[in-house]
Amino acid sequence: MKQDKLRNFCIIAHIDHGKSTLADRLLEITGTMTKEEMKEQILDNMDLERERGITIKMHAITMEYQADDGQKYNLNLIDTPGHVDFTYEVSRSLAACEGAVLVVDAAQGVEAQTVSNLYLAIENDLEIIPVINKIDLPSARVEEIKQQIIELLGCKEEEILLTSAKTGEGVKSVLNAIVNKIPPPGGDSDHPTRALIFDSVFNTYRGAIAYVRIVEGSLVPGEMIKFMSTGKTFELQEVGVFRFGNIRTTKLSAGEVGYVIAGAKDVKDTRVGDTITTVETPATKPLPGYREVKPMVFSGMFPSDAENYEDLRSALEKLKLNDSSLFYEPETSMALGFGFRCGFLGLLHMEIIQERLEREYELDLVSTVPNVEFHIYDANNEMHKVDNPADLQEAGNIDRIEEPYIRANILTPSEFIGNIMPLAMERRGIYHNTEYLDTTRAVLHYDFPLAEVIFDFYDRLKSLSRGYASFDYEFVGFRPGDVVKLDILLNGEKVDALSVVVHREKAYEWGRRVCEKLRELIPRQMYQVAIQAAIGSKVIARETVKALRKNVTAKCYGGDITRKRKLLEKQKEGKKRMKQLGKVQVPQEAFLSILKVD
Amino acid sequence: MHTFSLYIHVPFCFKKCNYCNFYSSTDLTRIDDYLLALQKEIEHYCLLFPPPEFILKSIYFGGGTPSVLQSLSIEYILSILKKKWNRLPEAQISFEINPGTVSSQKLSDLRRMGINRLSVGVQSFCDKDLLMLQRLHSKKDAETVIKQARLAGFSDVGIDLIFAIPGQTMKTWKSNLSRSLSLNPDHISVYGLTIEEETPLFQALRKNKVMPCDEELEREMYIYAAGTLKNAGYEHYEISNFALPGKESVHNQNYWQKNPYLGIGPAAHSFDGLRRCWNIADINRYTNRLHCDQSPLESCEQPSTNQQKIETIFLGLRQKSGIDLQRWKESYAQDLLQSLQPLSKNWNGLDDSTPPFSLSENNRCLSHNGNSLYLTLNGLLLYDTICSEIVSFLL
Ligand SMILES: Nc1nc2c(ncn2[C@@H]2O[C@H](COP(=O)(O)OP(=O)(O)O)[C@@H](O)[C@H]2O)c(=O)[nH]1
Repeated sequence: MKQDKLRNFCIIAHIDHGKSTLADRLLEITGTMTKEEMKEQILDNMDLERERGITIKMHAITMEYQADDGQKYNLNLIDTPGHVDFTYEVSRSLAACEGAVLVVDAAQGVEAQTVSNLYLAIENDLEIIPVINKIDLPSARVEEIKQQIIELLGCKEEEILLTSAKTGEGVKSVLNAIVNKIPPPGGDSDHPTRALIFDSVFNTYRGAIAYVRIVEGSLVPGEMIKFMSTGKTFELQEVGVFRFGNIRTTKLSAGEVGYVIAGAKDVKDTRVGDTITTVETPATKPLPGYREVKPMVFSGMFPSDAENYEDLRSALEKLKLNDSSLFYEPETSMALGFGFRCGFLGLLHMEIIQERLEREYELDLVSTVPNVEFHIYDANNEMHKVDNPADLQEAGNIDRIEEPYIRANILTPSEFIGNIMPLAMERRGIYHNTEYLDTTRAVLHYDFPLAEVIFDFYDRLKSLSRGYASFDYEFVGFRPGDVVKLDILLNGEKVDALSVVVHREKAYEWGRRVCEKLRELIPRQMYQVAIQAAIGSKVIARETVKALRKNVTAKCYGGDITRKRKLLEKQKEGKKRMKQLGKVQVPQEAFLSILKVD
Repeated sequence: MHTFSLYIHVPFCFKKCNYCNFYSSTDLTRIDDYLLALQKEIEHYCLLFPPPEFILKSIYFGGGTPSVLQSLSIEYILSILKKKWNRLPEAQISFEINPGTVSSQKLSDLRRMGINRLSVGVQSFCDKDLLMLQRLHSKKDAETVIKQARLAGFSDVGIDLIFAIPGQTMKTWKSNLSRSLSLNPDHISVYGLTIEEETPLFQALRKNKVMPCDEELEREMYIYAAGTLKNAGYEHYEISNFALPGKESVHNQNYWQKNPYLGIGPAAHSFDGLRRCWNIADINRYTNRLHCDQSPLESCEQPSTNQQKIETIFLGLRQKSGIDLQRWKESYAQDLLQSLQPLSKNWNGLDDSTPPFSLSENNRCLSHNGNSLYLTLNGLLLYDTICSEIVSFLL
């Protein structure tokens, strides 16, 4: 198909504003999928994603559409992941497009993800089609939301489309706008080839499949191709386009979107953001914007039954095939035994992986308090990366420590600003400015140490704003941080899995809470158990679990022997969930519930 | 020929005690129905113990409050039993009574019909304790009934005492014990009050209306009782039981030694050496079943080898005789002492000098004499924990 009959676009929206529903409608109206097929909701097809209403892995699909001018167009819809942890992936998907449909919920209005996705789209020079969705809702506030969008985009009121993805009203106008407003892709098919990888998936039979946008040149099966970030070359086996399923073709040309199979075994070789060129006439420069995806949040994951270590390894291997941003390496903990130190893009990414391991692979896991990566500079100004609190050397040879910072946009009805600011302060937020979207809604711009938002920040934000505030962030770099390693000791012995690195000022509070929590959770045993929190050799908090002095229920229940036996069997099951640390038995819950210190 | 023990559950009480969670009812109008059903059960459903190859070595009327039954009814039950099974000449026939519910006439009746052992639910000789437990009798009633029992000709009278009652002090406990001893009982059971969930006392505790007994005090009370009763010539033969020589409860020992027994009446449990079975725990459903000529059994199960091991452990450790090491080896092909070695560090190691149920100098909980593994007095105080640890570790 000629380039001028192609349109590459994506839909961006805050979660739940109707992105998936609108996509379904577009597919239905263009006849790309029947209602039956729709049930399989291929754009959003992982169970977990559907349950959480988020899109983790993006895909793409081509729709054929006969526009009002009587011409047929191919509209390539490129799906984008819907969460803060995947900002980079979103940006690469956007880079594969010329336009974006910006969907805003008619009742909710502009929210944090709307803003941050919009910024990304503008950075990528995309044509924006603003859409107010859910106009069928009785609570729709179309006029108000229009003003918010005009404020945000500087567009004209008549440019804003009104739809109900539910009823189908206005959806056709979206298709027309895609054809009429979004420019066709440029790029010369005769230039040396540069194809942008915006996604890749692993297929058991075919290996890694890269989803690409051909920016210049073309790809033809049989030729040798090169991945520019790694320099690896492969013979191109197959190319194709997306319909309902993948359709093999003979060539992909500039402007087109399609898939590429080249016998790469691993998604590590088909990295999102990388550029594919040909070996024969290679491009001189890769496309801009490639970044190696690095994990930001780390946690130790241990099978609660040591026997499942190999199962955990193989499950992680399988997940990793499809998820190049997942990182893991073996870790040994005195407390929890053999497991893996895992790295994730963010907290949500971590939760998703943990849930998949527990649900799909039926593993029972104990995971440690998540932490960020620290950069430790020694006296010679040499930098050491530390992603495990247990590895942080004792002070002394440390000159300074740097921790990762993020830039956050917090979007909130202005009445809650007074609640949110103290939270931000408590989390060591550095305030930049407040932007008003209209008289009632504001975006607060803050920098935060990532460590301060990786747990319960989002929940707190939500509860302080009665659910109205939303939050989005991007990584901005490492900065000095006054952090210390806090150890937890049971009867004088360090429990490595409970060590954390925290800001000095927060160490006392953290230590006190963890000790209290442990006192509640550790059952009384034959010996007194001393629980201490310490920085270096200095104990900053302490609790005691008194020794068990008496535990006997000797009443004789007639001949009912079964009752006591069943009780002992139950206790035996319970003990399986205990970890023996020296002489002290600690329930696994202790490791998990530290996460919920509130 | 095999011997077995028989338990008859009398699930009626004049009033339910606030700490009790045994199955019983205060609707005494159901007694006649119950008796009819019981008769049917004896005559048609005790299939695990077919006469004549089974012979009774003990009978035990427990409850509930068996003394709610009239003498005639008790005599009737005994006569049906007599028709069905032969008894050993020395068979121990026990009956639980509560002070204040039996006249001297009734006591003479019981003795005359062949009952040779009484177990008296004294609980305490302190009226304040009895009030806390909401018992119907006073300390006077308790003393009276024991004296009357002797007069009626009982040469085997046991009393039950409860300690660690909320509000109880060491002083009242000591006086309880000395009063008990002054009555010269043949058998004394001492139970630490366990406040079970779903009892009124538990509720009172939860609402802070009642303060539980301090743990250290409870320990002291138990240790004191063990020492005092021992000095008075009673043998501490089971975790809660003390007896003059030859006056141990044959019936209860039968449970702990995993010998066969038959339980009849609602909620009663039976064991035929292999299977453990139990009756429906509800009087109405129990009687209905039997009236419709159906078995009153609720369920039966045959413990697996591991489950048998668990039983041997917790039953063995409650007894002074402990767990027979040789028999363990024969049954399970395992050296128990050796297997437990790694675990014993939790209890300051295994001891081989402290006699059973005595205080260990170095606070050891488990001890052995080469033939059997048993608890020290220190261990008895942690009986539940130790059983649980052994079971979890071993199986
Ligand atoms: N009433 C109404 N509900 C809608 C409309 N569009 C989407 N929804 C509902 O809004 C919820 C979120 O929609 P979804 O498409 O999953 O949002 P996404 O998270 O942006 O993909 C779902 O329950 C949809 O059924 C609409 O136009 N009107």
